[in-house]
Amino acid sequence: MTQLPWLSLIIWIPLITGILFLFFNTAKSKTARQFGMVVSSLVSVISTILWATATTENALGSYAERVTWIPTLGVDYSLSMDGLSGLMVLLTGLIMPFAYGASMGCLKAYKNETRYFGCLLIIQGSLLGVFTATNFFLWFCFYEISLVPAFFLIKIWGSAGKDRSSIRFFVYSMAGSIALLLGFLALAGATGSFEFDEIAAQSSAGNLADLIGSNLGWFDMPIGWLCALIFLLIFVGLAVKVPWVPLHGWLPETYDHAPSPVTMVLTGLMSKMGLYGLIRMGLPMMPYALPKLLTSLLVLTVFGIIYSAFAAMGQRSIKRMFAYSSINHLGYCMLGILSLGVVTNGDMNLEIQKSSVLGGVMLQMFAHGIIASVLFYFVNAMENRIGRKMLIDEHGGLRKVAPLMAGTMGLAVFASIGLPGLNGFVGEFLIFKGVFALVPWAACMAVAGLLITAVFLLRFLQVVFHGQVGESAAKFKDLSLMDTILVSPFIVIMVILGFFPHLLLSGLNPVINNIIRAMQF
Amino acid sequence: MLGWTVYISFISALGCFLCPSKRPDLSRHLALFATVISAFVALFCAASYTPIDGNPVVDVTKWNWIPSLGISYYLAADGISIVMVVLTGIASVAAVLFSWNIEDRANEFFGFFLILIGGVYGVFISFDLFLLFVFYEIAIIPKYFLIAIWGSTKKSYGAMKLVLYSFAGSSMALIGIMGAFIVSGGVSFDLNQLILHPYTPEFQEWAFPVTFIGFVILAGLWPFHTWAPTGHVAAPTGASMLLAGVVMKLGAYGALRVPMTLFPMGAAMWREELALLAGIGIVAGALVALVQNDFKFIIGYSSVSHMGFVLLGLLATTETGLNGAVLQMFSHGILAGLLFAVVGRMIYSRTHTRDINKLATMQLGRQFPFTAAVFLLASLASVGLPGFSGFVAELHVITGAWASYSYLALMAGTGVVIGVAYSMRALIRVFWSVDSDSNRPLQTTLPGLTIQEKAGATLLIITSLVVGIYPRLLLDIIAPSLQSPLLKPLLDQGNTL
Amino acid sequence: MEPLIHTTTYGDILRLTGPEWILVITALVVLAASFIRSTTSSAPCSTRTLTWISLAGTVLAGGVLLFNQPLGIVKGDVFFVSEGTRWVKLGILLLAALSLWLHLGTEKRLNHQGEFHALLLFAVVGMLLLVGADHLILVFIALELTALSLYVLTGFEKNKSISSQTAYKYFLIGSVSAALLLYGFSLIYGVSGHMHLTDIQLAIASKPADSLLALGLVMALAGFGFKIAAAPFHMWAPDVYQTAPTPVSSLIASASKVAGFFVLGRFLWGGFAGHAGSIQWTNWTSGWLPMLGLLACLSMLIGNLSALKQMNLRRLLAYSAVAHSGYALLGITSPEPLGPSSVSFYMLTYGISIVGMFGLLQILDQNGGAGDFKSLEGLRFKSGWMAACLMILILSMAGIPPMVGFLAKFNLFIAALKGSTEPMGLILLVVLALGASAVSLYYYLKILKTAFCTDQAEGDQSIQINTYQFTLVSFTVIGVIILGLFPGPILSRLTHAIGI
Repeated sequence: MTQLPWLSLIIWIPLITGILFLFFNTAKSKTARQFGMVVSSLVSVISTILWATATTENALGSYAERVTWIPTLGVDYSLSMDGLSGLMVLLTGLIMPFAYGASMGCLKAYKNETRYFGCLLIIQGSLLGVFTATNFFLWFCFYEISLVPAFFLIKIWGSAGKDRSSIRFFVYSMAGSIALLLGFLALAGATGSFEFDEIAAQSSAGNLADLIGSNLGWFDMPIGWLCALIFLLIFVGLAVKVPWVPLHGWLPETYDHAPSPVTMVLTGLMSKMGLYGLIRMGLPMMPYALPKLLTSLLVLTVFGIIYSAFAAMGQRSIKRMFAYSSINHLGYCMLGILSLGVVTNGDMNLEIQKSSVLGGVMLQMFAHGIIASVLFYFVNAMENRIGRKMLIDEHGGLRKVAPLMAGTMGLAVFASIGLPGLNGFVGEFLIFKGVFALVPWAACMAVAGLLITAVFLLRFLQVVFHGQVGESAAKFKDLSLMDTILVSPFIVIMVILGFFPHLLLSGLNPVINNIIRAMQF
Repeated sequence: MLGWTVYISFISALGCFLCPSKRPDLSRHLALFATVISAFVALFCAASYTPIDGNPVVDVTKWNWIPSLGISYYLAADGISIVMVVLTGIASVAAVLFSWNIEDRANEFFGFFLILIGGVYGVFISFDLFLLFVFYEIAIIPKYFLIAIWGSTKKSYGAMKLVLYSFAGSSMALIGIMGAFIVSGGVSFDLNQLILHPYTPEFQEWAFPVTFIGFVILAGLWPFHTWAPTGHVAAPTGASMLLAGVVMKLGAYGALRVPMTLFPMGAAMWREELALLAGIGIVAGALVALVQNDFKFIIGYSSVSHMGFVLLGLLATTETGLNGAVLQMFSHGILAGLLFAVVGRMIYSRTHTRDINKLATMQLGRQFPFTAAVFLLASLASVGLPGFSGFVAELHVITGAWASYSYLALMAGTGVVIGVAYSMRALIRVFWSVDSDSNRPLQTTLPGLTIQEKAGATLLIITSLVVGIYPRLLLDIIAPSLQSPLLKPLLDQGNTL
Repeated sequence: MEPLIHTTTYGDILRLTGPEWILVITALVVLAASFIRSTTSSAPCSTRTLTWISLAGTVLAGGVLLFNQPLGIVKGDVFFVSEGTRWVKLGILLLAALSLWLHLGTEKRLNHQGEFHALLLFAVVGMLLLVGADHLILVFIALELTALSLYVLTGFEKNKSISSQTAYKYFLIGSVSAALLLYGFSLIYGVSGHMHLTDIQLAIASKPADSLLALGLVMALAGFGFKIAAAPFHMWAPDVYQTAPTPVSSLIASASKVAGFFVLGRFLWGGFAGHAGSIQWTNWTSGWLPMLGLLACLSMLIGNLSALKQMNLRRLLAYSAVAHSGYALLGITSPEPLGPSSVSFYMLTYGISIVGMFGLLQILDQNGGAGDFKSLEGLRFKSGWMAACLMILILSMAGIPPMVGFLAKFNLFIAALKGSTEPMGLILLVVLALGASAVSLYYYLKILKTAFCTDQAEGDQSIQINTYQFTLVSFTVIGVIILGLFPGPILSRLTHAIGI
C-alpha cells in the first residue's frame, strides 16, 4: 500500500496527543495548549482535504483500511470514508478547532487546562473514529471512548449543578449504549458479521428476517416482533444520544451546565453520532421492523418536535432555550429518518421522495452542527462578557453596544429558523417535501414546530438585541478580533451552503442512492 | 518450567514463615520477589507456548504419584491454563504491592498468601483430576487465616462462611471426580484418559450438575454466592484482591475443566437451567450492589454480577461464549483486584470507614484524584468500557449467549446498565459528592498514596488496557485450545442447540 | 520371605507369635524391674527406665516382625500370620511405641509404674493377637485382654474420683458389650456349628437367611461397635478420652482402633460374605451391610454434630473419633483387598495424627491448660512451631490435602465406591460422608482459630516443652506430611499385602 493510513492518522494523532495531555499537566500549559491547537487544526485541515479528495463512487469508500483485530468475533479494524462519513469528518474538522478556540477565550475559568484540552483532543479523535469506522465493534469503541472525556469536561469544568447533570448525561448515554450493543449483537449474531456493509447487504437481499429467525429463534416469538425488538433496542440506544423526546431528560441541564465550548461539541457533533448511527445501523433493520412500530414512533417524534419548541419558548436561560431548540431541530432529522420506513411498494415517486428526505436529513445534520455550535459560541461569548449565566430578559438593546455580534448572531438565528438562502433552509425543506408525500399527517403537525421555533427565536432576537439598553449592558463589548476570526468562516459557510447546497449534496448522492436502493420494499 | 510457579510460591511461603515476625520488611520483599519471579515465569511460558503437533495440551511434568489409585503428578497446560496462570501472576504481584502496609505478623500473612497463590497456580496447570483437587483444597485453607487474622468487619463469620461454602462445593466436585474415575473403570485420574470413556447419559445427567455446582459455588453462582460478599468484605485488601481476582476463577475454571469437559451431554441437559441462574446472578448481584452503603459490599456484589458473565459464557457452550468466559475471567481478575485495592487499601486503610455516606464528607476526590480516576476507570472497564478488557470479554459472552439464549443476553445487558448505575453511584458519593465539590478548604488531610499503590494500580490498569486494545494477545492462545479433544465434545453439543 | 508354615508344634507356634511373646516377656521384665528399682531410688528416673525398656521391647517386636517373621497358620485355623497382618501389626506397634514415647514426656508421675507399663504392653499383645485371630474364641479372648488392660489403665489415677468413675463406666459398658459379643458368637456357633470364620462361611453359605443368625450378627456388631466407638455405642469414648492418662487415651484412640477395625472387617467378610446384603441405592437387600451402613451414618452424624458444641478439646477429639469411625466403616463395606487395606491405612494414619494431637494436649496441660479451648489461646505466640504442628495435624484430621488425612479418606471412599458390585452403588453414603466432613471442618477450624486468630495477650510466655514431647509431635507432623506427599509405596504395599 503506497498510501498513508490517513484515516488512522487523523484519529490517532489527536487521541494520543490528548491522552498524553492528561498525564502531563505541567506548568507550561500555554505551550501545551498551543501545541494542542496546532494538532487539532492540523487534523482538521487533513480531514477537510480528505473530504475534498474522497472518491465517493467507490463502494468501499475512500482511504479504506482493514486489519484483522479479533478473529474470534470476526472483528476487523476497518475504516473507510464514504460520502456520509466525509460530511461528518468535515463537520468535525470545522467544529473542533472552533470549540478549541472558544475555550481559549475563557481560559481563566479553567483549572488544569492542559487536561481540559486533552479531553477535547480525545473527543476529536474518537469522533473521527466514529464517523469512519465501518465495523460495529470499532465504531462502538470510539463511540464509548468519546463519552468519558465528555463526562469529565462537564464534571470538572462545568457550572453549578454539574455533578448531577454529568452523571445524568453519563448514565443515559451508557444505558443507551448498552441497548444499542444488545440490539446490534443480535444482528451480528444473526448475520455473523460486525461489518455495517455486510449487514446492509443482507438486509437489501431480504435475508435478514430469515437469518434472525433461524439463528435467534426465541421461544415462539414471531420473527416480525423479534425484528421489531432488535430495531427498537438499536433505535432507542441511538436516539438517546440525539436526543429523541421521551429520552431527552439528560439534555437541557447537561447543555446548560457544561462549559459552553463543550456544549458546542455536544450539540454540534456528539448528537450527530446518534443520527449517523441510525442511518448506518437502523436503516438496514427498518424494512423488517418499522411497519409494526412506525406509527407510534412517528407520533412520539411529532410530539417531541412540538413539545421541545414550546419548552424552548418557556425558558429564561438562553442556553436552555437553545438546548430545546436543538432537540426540535434534530427532531426533524428523526422524523425524516423514520419516514423512510414507509412502505412504498416500489412506487418510483415515493422512492424519489425518500431520496430527498435522506438528503435533507444529512444536510440538516450538517447545518444544525454548524448553526448550533455558532449559537452556543455566541452564548459563550455573552457569558464571558458578563461573567455568569445569562438570562434572556436580563439585557436589552445589545445591538447598540455590540452591533457586530447582533448582526452575525442574528444571521445564525435566522439560519436556525430556516430562512431561505441560509443553510438551515435546504435541509428542512427537503425533509418536509419528502415527508409530506410519505406521511402527510406527520408533516402537517410537525410544521407547527417550525412556526413556534420561529416565534421564540425571533422573540429572543427582539428581547436581547433590541429594545431599551439595560444599565448593565453598557459595558458589554462587541466581538473581538479573535471572535470574528473564529466566527466568520461559519457565517460564510451558512450563506454559501444556503445558495449552493449541491456542494455537499453531490458528494452525498451515491450514498443516498445506495441506501434507498437497499431499502426498497 | 511452568511448574516452578507452584514450587517458587510454596518454597517462598516456607521462607516467609521462617522470617522473624519482627522484620515485616523481609517477608514482604521475599513475597514480592517470589510473585514477580512467578509472574515472569508465567509470562515467559505464555510467550513461548506453542501447541505440539496440533495438540494444545502441552505436558510439563508427568510422574506416577500413587500408582495403586492411578494418580499421577501430571502438570500440563493448554491455552486456557496459560491465560489463567498469567492472570494469577499479575494479580498476585499487585496483591503483594497492595499488602505492603501489613505490619502485624507480616511473615505469616505472606506465608499464607503464597500458599494460596501456589495452590491457585497448581489448579490451573493440573491435568490429573486428583492433583487438581489437591491444589484446589490447598487454596481453601489459607483464605480462612488470611481473613480471620487480618480481616475486618465480622471477620470470623466471613472467614468461616467462605471456607465452609468452599469446602462444601469442593466436596460436591469430589463426588463427580470420584464418579468419573470409578465409572471409567478406576484406572486413571488423567484427564486425557478419562475423556476417552463414554459416560452414559444417565450418569452424566446427575454427575454434571453435582460437579458443576460444586465448582461454581466458588465462582459465586446465584444462589450459592452469599459467601462471596461477606468473605470479600471481611478479607484484608490483598486477600480480597486474590479472592475476587483469582480464587473465584478457580471455580469457573474447574467447572470448565472437569464437568463440562467430562460430561458434555450432562451439560447439554442442564445448561439452560444453570444459565438462567447465571443470568439471575448478573442482575441480582447488580441490584443488590445498587443499594449497599458499604463501599466494599458494592464491589463484593459487583463481583458476583461479573462472575455471572463468566458462567453465562461457559454455559452458552459455543466457541464465542467460551472465549468470552475465559477472557472475562482474566478481565475480572484484573479489574476486581483493582477495585478491591481502591476500596480496601487506597480508601479504607486511610479513612477507617467504608460507609459511603461518611466517605462523602471527606472530599476524597480532591485529596486523591489518582484514586478517583483509577476507580472510575476500573469500574467502567469492568462494566464494559470499550478499550478495556471487560468490554471485549462481555461482548464475546453476550454474543455467545445471543446465539444460545437470547433472553439471557438481554438480562445480561440489563445487568450492565445497573452496573453503570451502581458504579456511578459509588463514584459520585465517595469521590465527588456535593460536600467535596465546593471550594472550601480540605477538612482533613489523609496520608498520600504510596509508590507501591501507584505501581500496583498502574500495572493492573495497563494490563486491562492492553488486553482490551489487543485481545488477540490472549485470544490467539485461548481459541486454538477450544479445538482440543478435551473440549470438542462440549462444543459439538453446543452446536446442536 | 519364610515359607508358609502349617503347624501344630509349639516351636512353630512360638515362631509365629514371636512379637507377641517378646512383648509379654518385656511386660514381665518391666514388672520385675519396677520392683527392683522402686526399692532403691525414688520414682521419676525409674519410670523413664521402665518406659525405655518397654519401648525397647516394642521395637524388638517390630524388628522381629519386619525381618524375621514367618508366615503361616496355626493348625486348626485359630491364628494366622499373613503379609497383611504383618503390616497391620507393624502399624499397631508403631502407634504403641509412639504412645510410650508420649509417656516418656509425661511430667506428672503416677504410682505403680511397673503395672502401668505391663498393662499397656498386655493391651498391645491383645491387639496383635486380635489382628491374627481367625477363630471366634481367640477373637473374644484377645478383645478382652485388650479391654481389661485398658479398663485398668483408664482408672490408673485412682486418687482422682473422676478417673475411677470413668474407668468404672468404661468397664460397665465394656463388659455389657463383651457379653453381647459373646452371646452373638454363641448364636453364630449355634447356627453354623463352627467357630472358625472360614468354616462358618462354608457352613452358612448354603443356608437361607436365618433369624437366629441375624440376631447373632446384630449382637456381634453391637459388641464390635463398642470396641471401635461407633455410634450409638460410643458413650464411653468422651469420658475416657477426657480422663484417662494421656498415653492411654492415645493408645485407645489409635492402636486399639486399628486392631478393632481390622478384625471387624475380617469377621464380616471372612465369615459372612454370603449374607452381606446390599445397600446400593438402586438395590437394597437385607444383610449385615445395611446394619454397617446404619452404624456408619449414625457415627458420622452423631460424632460430628456432637463435636460441634464441645468445649473440652479431648471430648471434642473423642466425638471426632466417633465420626472417623463412621468414615472407616464405609471402607468395611468393601471386600478384600480394597476394603481392609484402605481401612487399615486410614486408621493407621489417623492414629498417627491423633497421637500427635494427644502429645500437643499433654504439652498444653503441662503448661497449666484446663484442656479446653482457652488453653489454646495465643498458642501462635507461645510457640510458633507447636501452633504449626497443631494446624497440620488438625488439617490432616479434617481431610485437607496435602496432609495424609485427605488421601486416606479419599482412598476409603474410592474403596467403598469401587467395592460394591455396581460401581457408585454407595454414592449416597459417600455423599453423606463428604457432607459430614464439611461439617467437621467447622469445629476443626474453631480449634485453629483459637490458636491462631486471637490477639497476642500481655504476659504470654513461651510454653515449656520437653524433648520427648517435641520429638513426638514433630515426628507425627512430619509423618503426616511425608505420608501425604508420598503415600505411593506404603499404600501399594499395604494393598498388595492384604490382597495376598
